[in-house]
Amino acid sequence: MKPKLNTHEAPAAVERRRWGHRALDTIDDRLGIKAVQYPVPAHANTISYSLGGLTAVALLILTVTGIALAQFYNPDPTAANQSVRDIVDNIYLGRWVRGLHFWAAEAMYVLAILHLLRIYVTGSYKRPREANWLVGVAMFALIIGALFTGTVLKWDQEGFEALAHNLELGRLLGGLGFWFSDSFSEGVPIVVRLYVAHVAIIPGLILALFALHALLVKYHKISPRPDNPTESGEPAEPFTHHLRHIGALGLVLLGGLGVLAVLFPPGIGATPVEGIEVTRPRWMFWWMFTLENWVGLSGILWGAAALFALLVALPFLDHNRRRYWRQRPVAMILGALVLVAIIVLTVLEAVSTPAQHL
Amino acid sequence: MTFIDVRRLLTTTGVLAALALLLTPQVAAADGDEGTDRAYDFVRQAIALIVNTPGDMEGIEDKVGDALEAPDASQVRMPLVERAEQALEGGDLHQVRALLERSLGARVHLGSDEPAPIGQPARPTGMDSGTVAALDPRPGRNGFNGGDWIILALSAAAGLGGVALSLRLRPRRLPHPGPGPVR
Repeated sequence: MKPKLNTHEAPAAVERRRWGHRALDTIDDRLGIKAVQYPVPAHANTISYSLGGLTAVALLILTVTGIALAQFYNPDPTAANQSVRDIVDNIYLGRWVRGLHFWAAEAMYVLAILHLLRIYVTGSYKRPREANWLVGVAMFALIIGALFTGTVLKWDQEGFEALAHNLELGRLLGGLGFWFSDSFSEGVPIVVRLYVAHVAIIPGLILALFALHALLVKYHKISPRPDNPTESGEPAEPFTHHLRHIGALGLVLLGGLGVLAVLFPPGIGATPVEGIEVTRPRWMFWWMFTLENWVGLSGILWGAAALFALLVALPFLDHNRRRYWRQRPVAMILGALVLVAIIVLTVLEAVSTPAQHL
Repeated sequence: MTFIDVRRLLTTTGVLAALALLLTPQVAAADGDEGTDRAYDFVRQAIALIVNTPGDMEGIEDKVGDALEAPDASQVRMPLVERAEQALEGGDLHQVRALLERSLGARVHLGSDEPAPIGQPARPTGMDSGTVAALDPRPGRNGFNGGDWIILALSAAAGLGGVALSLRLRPRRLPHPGPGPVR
């Protein structure tokens, strides 16, 4: 398609546009980049349908800030906590970059949950998108894994206690928990292995699943809105417009996280000591720790296993073909119950005193 | 109208429960408190409690008492721990902490800006924390400087720019014909 020319433009500007289009065509011949201009429905550009894209923006911020932090972080147990203090005190922009990383992680977790809730409410996990739902659930589990390992890496009392819990959970899992055993790789401090998981294994898996997720979204197309399943009267736009829209929202996210990183940078706790339990985990884990307070350490395992079993089983249990939320009362009530239960358990942990479990 | 297949739900739950039971052969390990008999560990824990939970006097007293009664007193100068116990009775946590740190051969803390390492721990492996005497926690922020204000302004500008762009690019009003028949 020839570029549209504006007859009022100066010849030099027209020439520049022609040159630009020619350059784009040359690149497209080699890389096929115009393939991303495939049409998507206009509702893809609403905020609720952009939550997945925003989660990806958070991942991008985490990757960039993570690469910067990795230049100065030392995973040796004797130096890890101090290296975080050095990043904050002695590295140019270190406090802000660490704050941005911290808040981007919080944002990614929240955005992933909101994205998951949107998929649930609009029934977008239903046929033929079950596989993509499972990919999303796996990515959500990996995000939690990244949050956990990130908590441990600062190597303060809170992170150390989180790791101690995890080691005990590894024992509860028997043979399956072998990786979370300090005897698995004797001689290597476990925080070093968790560092490798945090900077390579988990992000690598997330990126691989993200590619699959995006391909499946393209293959099945963005799910239509339940209140307009035939997409009648809804215009289509190129996917590049969706990317532009995500970019604008991503700028809002980056700006907001940047402000938070300045106003509320994360602190760092005391260097860790074994044998005491005096801290509370990060808020996203609180609901599981209420279960621990009730039934012991296995409560964490059972709680997490139950939630993820429900998430995995959902598309295979829900056979209602309707997607509009008012026509799915059972699914809506069950979903709300699970959500309320998690919120109540979280609040209970917030008002309790950390107790010794290990 | 079928919403949730109850039989499948029960079957799935049963299978998952059975799997979980099979995979949890060491439930007794849940509360596995691998206790220590080393005064060295108790002193480190007492310091960590002073740093993390200074209001927990009972916990600190317990740890100092455990250190004094521990059968293995190697690497600890016990007279200093005894003096720490006396200082604890007087409620002077600063002195208690200093005495306990000295009892391990660690450098005495000076404040929250204390540089590490305090003392030289053995090369840590596995789940060793690598800490001899705990450093104070650090708050995220200690006041604002000029750079903070610049970053704050740039971040706010980026956010506002994003808001303006988002409003400009927002989709036009979408039709809402209703859910229609099941497809």
